[in-house]
Amino acid sequence: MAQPATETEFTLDTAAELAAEESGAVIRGRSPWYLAWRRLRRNYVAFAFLGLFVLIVVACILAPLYAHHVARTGPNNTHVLDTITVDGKQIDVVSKGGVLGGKLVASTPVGPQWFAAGGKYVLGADQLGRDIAVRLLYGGRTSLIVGIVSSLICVVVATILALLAGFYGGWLDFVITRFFDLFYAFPVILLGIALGAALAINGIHLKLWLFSIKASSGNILIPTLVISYVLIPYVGRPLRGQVLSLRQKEFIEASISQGAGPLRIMFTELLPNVASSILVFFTLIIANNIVLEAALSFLGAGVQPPRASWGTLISDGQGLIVTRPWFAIMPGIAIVLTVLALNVFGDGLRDALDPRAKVKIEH
Amino acid sequence: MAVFLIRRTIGAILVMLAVTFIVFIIFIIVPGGGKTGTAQRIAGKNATPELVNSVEKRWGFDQPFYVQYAKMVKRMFTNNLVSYTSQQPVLSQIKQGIPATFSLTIGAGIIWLFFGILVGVISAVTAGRLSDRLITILALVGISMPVFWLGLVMRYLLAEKNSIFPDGEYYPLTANPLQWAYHLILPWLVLAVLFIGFYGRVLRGNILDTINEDYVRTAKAKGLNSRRVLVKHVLRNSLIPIITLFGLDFAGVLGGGAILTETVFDLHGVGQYAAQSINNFDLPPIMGVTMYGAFFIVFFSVLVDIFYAFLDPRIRPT
Repeated sequence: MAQPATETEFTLDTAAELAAEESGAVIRGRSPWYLAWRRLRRNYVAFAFLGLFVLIVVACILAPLYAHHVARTGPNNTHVLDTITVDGKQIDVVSKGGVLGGKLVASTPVGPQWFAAGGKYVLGADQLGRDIAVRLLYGGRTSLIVGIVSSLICVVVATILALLAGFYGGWLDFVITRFFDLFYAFPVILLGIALGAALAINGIHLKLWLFSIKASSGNILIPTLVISYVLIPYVGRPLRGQVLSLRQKEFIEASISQGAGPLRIMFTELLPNVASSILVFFTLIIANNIVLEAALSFLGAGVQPPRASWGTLISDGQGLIVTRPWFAIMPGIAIVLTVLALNVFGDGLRDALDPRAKVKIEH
Repeated sequence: MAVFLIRRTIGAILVMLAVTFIVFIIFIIVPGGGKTGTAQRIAGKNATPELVNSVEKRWGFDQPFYVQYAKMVKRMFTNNLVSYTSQQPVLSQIKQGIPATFSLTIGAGIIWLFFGILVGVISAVTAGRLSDRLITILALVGISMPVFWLGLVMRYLLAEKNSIFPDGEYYPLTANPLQWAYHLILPWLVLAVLFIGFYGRVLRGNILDTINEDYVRTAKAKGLNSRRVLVKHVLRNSLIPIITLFGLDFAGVLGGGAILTETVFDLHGVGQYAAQSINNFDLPPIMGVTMYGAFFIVFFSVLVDIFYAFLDPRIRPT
């Protein structure tokens, strides 16, 4: 058997190493964040994948530019009866179906044209003659927005619940942990599609004290809220455990004896100590939520048509998989690249910050 | 032990009731429109007011929601749940889905546990070397793939374009075991890929944590060969978290959690039944399936606790 793991890239910087590097100079105090940054900086793989993620985000942000100047059509513009010119020939964007020579022929949209049609239909068209490349970019915007915003909501709510449960303990802790346990007993996808389908019909009309949330049925706020809600226990439970053990430490006792109030202790004493875990969770939850959004949209309980998202695109492409396989494959590749980039970067971040944070995955 | 079991059983029943209550609330109250809203959905978009009224009376939507819930639970425990839309009894529909779901889960479970452990051990033992990095990348790619997309692409490439495997649908085990396995190979592999990656990563981390413990050094110092140290000392401890994970994931899939895999491969299992019912806003089947799913999760979490105690005497329940 090999020697106990000696991983070259992720070695922890020991005080001795730091001292040696500064060659006899006075050892300066380093913050844990700085030490983590040093470890992360050496992880080139993680940085390369962060670059990939940024690239995808920028491409999606620039979607309108591509739509106006290259494809010259919007994400929801249909061109069923239009034709395009390829090598001087006129081709229907969506071929006409019907009875041809005694055989029934289904109408099929054009496949990938690459740049033969002057930037139009680079990746082909869908059943309604919409440009898939444009929809892919706009769909990426939807998927990324839903993924990032829902993760933000999820992490914020889970952190607050974990701080409250861990700090106060007692009946509040009991109620919050039971709430977490309850949602563990639910298959995540089942809860997601149940909520998503129920809300997709009539939208949300909630009035909570001062806030009122109103979203009609096509709004992407609905899948965002559903997705953020579903994974709260998976972040909240481990965080609560951490807060609970920090609560027993001397520095909290010292803080109490100095007369600090509960809010001050929770947000200026406890929160900075779990911040590294939260950051890791946030990265990995975005990856998770992008997949969850795709799954819900694929089942019809997430983003609603005509709005494009990577999930709805795969679902649209499913019907054409035999004649135009790339239509369904392309958005999937987009998801895999984005999620892989986030997972690899999140993994590197975890190695640098907090080796124990774990995130559950989807079936 | 008896006290532990009784306490867990009572807890389990409470959790299951709470879960059904949440589902009930989601489908009766959240969609809005009050009592007529639900009746309207079942009757259809273009239904006459008379039809909506009769649907409302028939299923009792005009009653207060707690009365409706009590009746629903009563029907659930007396096996009288009937679908709103197809009028089929829910229990027999779930029973029809069970062979497919169980076959999918058990086969995939064996594959993902075996390969998950294999992958985890290999990458931990060779940590930092080329094989470890390769495995790590492959595992992360596996984790990052949406399962329904992988299923779709696999089905297209291997079943529709080249007929290497049969295209979808469940083939009963009793009719022909060979055909049964042949029909399920693709769904098994697709479902297992995700878990293999995830389990491999978790196990690798656990082994690397354990390998630096004092007792492992002691075992080596007293001259045990490295295989024995790995299997008897390191793995025995590193596998404990994997057992928990496996118990809960297995229960989730058994309880209809593999909705996506079942839908993509058209297996007509319990998960697919749930997905269809949700799209039809058919509350009784959703209640039934949720109860069924929650049962497995709760049951397996008790099983995991007992197994835990067997493996590690320090956490024996009292």
